[in-house]
Amino acid sequence: MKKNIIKKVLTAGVFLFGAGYITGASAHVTPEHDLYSGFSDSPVQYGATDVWQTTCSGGSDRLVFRILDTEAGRSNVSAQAYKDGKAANTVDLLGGDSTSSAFVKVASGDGVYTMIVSQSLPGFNFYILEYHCENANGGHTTTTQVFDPIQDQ
Amino acid sequence: MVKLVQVIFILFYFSLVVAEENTNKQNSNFVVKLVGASGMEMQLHVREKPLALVLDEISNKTAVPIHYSVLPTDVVSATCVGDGLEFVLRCLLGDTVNMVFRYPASSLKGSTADHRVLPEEVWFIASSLVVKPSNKQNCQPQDNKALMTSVNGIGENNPQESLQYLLENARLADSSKRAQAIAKLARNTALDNEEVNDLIQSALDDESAKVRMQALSAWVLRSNDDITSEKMLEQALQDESRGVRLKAVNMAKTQMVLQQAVDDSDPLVRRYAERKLKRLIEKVK
Repeated sequence: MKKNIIKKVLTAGVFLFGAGYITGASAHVTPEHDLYSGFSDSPVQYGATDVWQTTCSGGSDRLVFRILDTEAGRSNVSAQAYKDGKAANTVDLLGGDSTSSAFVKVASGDGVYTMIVSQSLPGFNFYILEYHCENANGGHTTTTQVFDPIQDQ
Repeated sequence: MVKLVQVIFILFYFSLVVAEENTNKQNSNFVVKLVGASGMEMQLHVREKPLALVLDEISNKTAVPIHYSVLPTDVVSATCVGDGLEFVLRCLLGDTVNMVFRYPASSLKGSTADHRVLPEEVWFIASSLVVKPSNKQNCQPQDNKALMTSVNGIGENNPQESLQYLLENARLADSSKRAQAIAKLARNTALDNEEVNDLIQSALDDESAKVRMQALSAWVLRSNDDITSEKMLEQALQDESRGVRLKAVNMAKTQMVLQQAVDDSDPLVRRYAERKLKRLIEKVK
């Protein structure tokens, strides 16, 4: 009986450790970042677009990404990724909750992918960008972790 | 005496005609038109104008925000006629400039968008704008509905005209134009350009909050002195405009500035500062 309990505890421990390890290895998130756009009466706005770049390697087929708007409010945060003429867009329609936007992908192989984050209305917003590279079978490939945007506006 | 009056009258009339011709010539050198009931077909005719001006005009006419961080300081000449904004921008800038077009969900057909519909936003990828597109583009009609002929693409260097244009805009009565000009000058001119730096400095006290906000951003962006920037941000937190104070929080990188902002009278400024401060403290840990 005692043996069985120890076995169960060990199995659960190994399982939980494995699950944590896989999550840690596959999920890449940017640090929470803010966007601010001050005025809206001009069609050309400044200060509301962040640009991030990550590199996929090791036989990657695509970049998969989504965005989490961590600030409640009417303004939606969206992310676009771009490489070699291919692009995809995803929007978190409800800010402030823990549900991210849908995962979308850009299939342009190994190399540098550019991710652009913007918001739909003036004001401030906070977001977390989640991304990883995948091979054609959906297995995770080498993804560069990024800590700062190349354009922070 | 009568003859003298006649001569003066003729000279006056002649000068009016010449002035009108010049105005017409000026206007005909820059035309952006949306044609058709649905606004699908676009015409762009531009002669030796700074690229920034052309993009502003396109953005104003179409009400489509065009985002970019750095633009070449060249002037452009082009004649483009085609279905949709994407078509016209590719004619103007060439295929070497990476652009992202976000179309409304309603225009999507499967995974592709109907490019004749106006996009909601356009981005120019900064790195691609550093590379100059080819001097002359041979845009060919892609179907019967579109005809594109680009006389000259970007490539005729005339930075002074562009700089002059932005400096003039930064002194216009329209505060939006002043703010836009300051934003562009901040990013597209040398950091030691005294004329630009003086202009930004004086814009910090502009009567328009929009301009003060842009000047604050420009100042911090161009400053290589963290202590001065911090003082500037602390000063901006005393501004009567909430927008300027929010901008100061946005630009703040130190706890000192953010701690001052968490005591702001406005709840929005306080909330923004509190969240940034919390994040900064977590980052330091």
